[in-house]
Amino acid sequence: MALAALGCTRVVDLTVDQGPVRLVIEGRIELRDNDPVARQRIRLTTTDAYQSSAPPPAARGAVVRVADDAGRSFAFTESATEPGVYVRDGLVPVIGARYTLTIDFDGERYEGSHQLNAVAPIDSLYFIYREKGLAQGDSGFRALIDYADPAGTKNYYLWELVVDGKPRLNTDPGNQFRIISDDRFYDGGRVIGYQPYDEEVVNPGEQVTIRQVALSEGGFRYYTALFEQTTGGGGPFSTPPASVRGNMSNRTNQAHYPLGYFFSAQVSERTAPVPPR
Amino acid sequence: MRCVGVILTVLLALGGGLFGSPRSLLAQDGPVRLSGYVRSEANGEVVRYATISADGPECRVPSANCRATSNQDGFYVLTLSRGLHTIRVRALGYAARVDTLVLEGSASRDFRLAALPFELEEVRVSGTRDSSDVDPGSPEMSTARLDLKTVRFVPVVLGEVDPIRTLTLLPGVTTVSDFSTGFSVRGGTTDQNLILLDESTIYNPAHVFGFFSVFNGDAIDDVKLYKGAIPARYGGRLSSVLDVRQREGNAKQFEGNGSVGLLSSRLSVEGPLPNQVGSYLVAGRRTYADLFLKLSSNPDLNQNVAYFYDLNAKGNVRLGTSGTLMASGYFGRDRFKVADQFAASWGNVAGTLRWNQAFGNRLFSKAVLAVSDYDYGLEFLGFGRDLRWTSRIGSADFKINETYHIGNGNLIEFGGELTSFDVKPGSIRPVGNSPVLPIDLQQRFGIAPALHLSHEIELGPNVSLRYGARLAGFRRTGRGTIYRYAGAGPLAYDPALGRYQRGRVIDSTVYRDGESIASFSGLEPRASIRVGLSRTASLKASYTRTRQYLHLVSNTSSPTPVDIWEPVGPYLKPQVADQVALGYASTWAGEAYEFSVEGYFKRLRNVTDFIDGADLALNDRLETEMLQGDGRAYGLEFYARKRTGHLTGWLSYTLSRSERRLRGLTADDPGINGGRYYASPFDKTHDVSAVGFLPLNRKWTLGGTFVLATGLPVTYPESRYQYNGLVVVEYGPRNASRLPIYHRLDLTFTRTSGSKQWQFGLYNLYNRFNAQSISFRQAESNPLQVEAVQTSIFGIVPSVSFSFRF
Repeated sequence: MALAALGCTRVVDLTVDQGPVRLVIEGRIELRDNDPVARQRIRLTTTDAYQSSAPPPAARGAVVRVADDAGRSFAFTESATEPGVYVRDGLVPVIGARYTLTIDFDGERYEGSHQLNAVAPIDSLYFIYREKGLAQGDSGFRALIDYADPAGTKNYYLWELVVDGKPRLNTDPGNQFRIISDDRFYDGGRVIGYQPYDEEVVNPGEQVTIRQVALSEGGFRYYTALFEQTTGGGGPFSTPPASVRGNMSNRTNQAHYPLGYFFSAQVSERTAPVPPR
Repeated sequence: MRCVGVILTVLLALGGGLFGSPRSLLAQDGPVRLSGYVRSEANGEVVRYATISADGPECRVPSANCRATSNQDGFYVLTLSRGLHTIRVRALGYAARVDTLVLEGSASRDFRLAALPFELEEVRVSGTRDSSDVDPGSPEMSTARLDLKTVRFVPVVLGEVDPIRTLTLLPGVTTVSDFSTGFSVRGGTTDQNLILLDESTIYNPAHVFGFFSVFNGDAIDDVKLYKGAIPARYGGRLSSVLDVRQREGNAKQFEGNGSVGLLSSRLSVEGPLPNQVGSYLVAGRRTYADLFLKLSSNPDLNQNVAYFYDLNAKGNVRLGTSGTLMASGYFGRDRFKVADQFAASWGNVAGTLRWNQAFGNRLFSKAVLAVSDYDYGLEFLGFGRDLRWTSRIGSADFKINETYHIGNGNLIEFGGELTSFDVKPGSIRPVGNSPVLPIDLQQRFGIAPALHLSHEIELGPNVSLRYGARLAGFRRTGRGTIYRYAGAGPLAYDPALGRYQRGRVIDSTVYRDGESIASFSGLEPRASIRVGLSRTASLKASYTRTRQYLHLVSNTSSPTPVDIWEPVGPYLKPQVADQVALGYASTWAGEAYEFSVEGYFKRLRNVTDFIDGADLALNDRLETEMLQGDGRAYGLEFYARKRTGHLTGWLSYTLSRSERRLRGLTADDPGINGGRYYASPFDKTHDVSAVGFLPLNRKWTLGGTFVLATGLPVTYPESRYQYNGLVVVEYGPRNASRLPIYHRLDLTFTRTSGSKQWQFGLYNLYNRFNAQSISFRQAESNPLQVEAVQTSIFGIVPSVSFSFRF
């Protein structure tokens, strides 16, 4: 609900106590329906001072491995061009397999695992032009998709929008309800004309990609908490602030827990150019 | 329904005993009783809490007690000797009345008081007695009573008279947000307040997401808040009881009131029923912001809907000289619609049917049937999965309450109550051509029986005592499915990940209609004592235990219209609170000044909080999201009032602390905040309110309010990081920091002439940017940076309203 828009806001300066530096894991082993042999990437950074405006510090020199439950193990190597990004070619994931990520960093070991779930394909990607509206942002094209939710299983979705190769993430209040979804309201239904990025205008000539990502229940809850904490806070109806905890743990020192989440997921991608008006 | 049978049997047994006894006590030379109603001469409405005192020969003995107070229905009983008496009746807002009468036996007598003239009201305003706390002669403590005449002169936001906002200017009552009429009493949560309108529960007292309360100032005449020393007849909530009464209506002549404000218009009509058998009142209020939207040529705006309305109705029929039949109803609804995308609607319905009867000049009997209903509906449209989401809670309550007067300052009150609850937590329906599947969360049913008994007695001239208990139970009944979880239960702690995980369902039990799922009961002792130090000063002490069987599932800083009530059951335990309070009350200079101070300490058990990242929407297994723990709250409340003279008003100061501790499920998990006490979201260390009224000349009166308080607790970050392009903050200890100090000055100028009144208000006169919250978001200028955003609700808000009588 758009309640957070009420009231007036202003930005204030705060002095806060600095907490411990923690490892942040952004990892997703992907099985893409249009590119199953794609390079796998895991990004490691650390937390930083609250006031900082610098890019997140890269966690360099970590030893990163991914193992599956069939006994295969894949060592990742740090990219020469992107500090803190660890890559691996030739890891072709399997639906239903469980992947375990192990990281040795700064003398401590971090570990977490995630099962790779299948995702329904995006049946089509198309665009409509919409006039400016009160609750729907500026005039312009929006990307729409159709997909059929598989019946009888619990499915959780995340949608990503990439425009001309650049990812976009809209964190306006209310939008978080569209970017992720739980099929419990429409299990087995065919969803027509869904606009996961309802407030993001795309322009004629741009190449638009929508990525439909399978989430686990834990992953869905992680994103729910993440969006709750990063969007629309501060109104009288906001939820209490809380640390967003993921599925990775510190095996050396539990109190020095890491942040972020390790996923493995099937991804359905569709790309299309925005038509002229 | 077996419980009803039990209560009725008990009551009949007690009643039989009592009805039998008066005759035997009416020996020729023994005392006799004078009883009846105190009413307004102008319109015949009952006058609550009037003082009736006599001065017969037996009253001249220093230890004598020849004084009584009319109850909340205006009924009084006074025990006197036979012979000549001068009776003096006084009540707030009325001229005192002195009558002489000869008592030859027990008699019924109604007293009619003349209201002070309207024109003088602004001068009189503060001559009224609003707080029985301060009455050193009363055994009551920890209460606050508002007179609606006073409330009308207190500055309010946007000119809407709001008793709940005025209550927060009294000690021990704090707002939870400028936005919200949700209030916290002595550190409690907003759902721990029992809100009664003519004895019927109001489950959500908010209009416009909390901006305004459902109480229309034209339709109500009495607002009484019990912060502690709660009488045994009330139960079901932990922290307070807010008892609001609707007006009865003018029993003498037809009368109308109207008002036009920036935001809403109100109209009320009242008058006698045919053949003078009683009176009626009908009052309505509607906001009209959306009517202006309709005038807009912008199709996005003129399709929007935003309004609320209220309808209050009440009728009284007199049954002989000592009985009354009353029917009262409240209907209110809010509607919002944003283009064709989102619609919301919610409302309360409350109805009460009550029969009062006085028997034998000493038993005042009351039977009440009250029904309440709260529901909401939301529609999410235009995004490929259109749906409608509805929820409701309903209850029906039958209660009997008897007050038996043994003598002056000696009475027994007892009764019973049976409430049935029915909660539909949520239903989803597809709208139009939508793939959404219909979903119905399972309904929750419960039955709550209660019995209460208390005795109030004066032991000599200086000591009065009230003690008693409430025996209250709750039975959660079927139909329903209760899940059983693997291992430790619905919540399990994962030490490696450092967070709570929902338990895995391994089994479930289906209960049939009416079958008992879980039962709870407990005794709630209540006691208070007054020790008079002098004619104008007394010490008071009280102990109160309360139990609560319904929890509002709300994980936001203010309650929202879409919160749901969850009854206790196999996993969620009842909340229990014990409160002790100690107070001193005095009046000076012939009651021109009043002063009271009270200290309290409360211990709470099974208060709830939610695990980090709790998912409460349409969740059928809320037990997997909640933890229960302890709370403690303590404070000192000071209240001083100047009641007469040119400038009148009051000053209140509260020094308090309210904390929670949610330990883990076992010794190995940390609970919330590492299992340590943390400030509750409504904790305010210092809270000062000053309210003043100053007549400027014959027509103009100035009302002013100044509020100064410690900022509410807030959680600050200790670092920041990035995930998926989002900047995320990592938080430090919960509620460990504070918002900036809150202060605000409001003024109201009221011009009264004849039956017309103009009111000009300035809320937040010096336009203070009072922080309601500080939150953290990605800076627009630099997506790598976090910025702290302070939200405030109101800058300076002018208002104007016009009201008239016809």
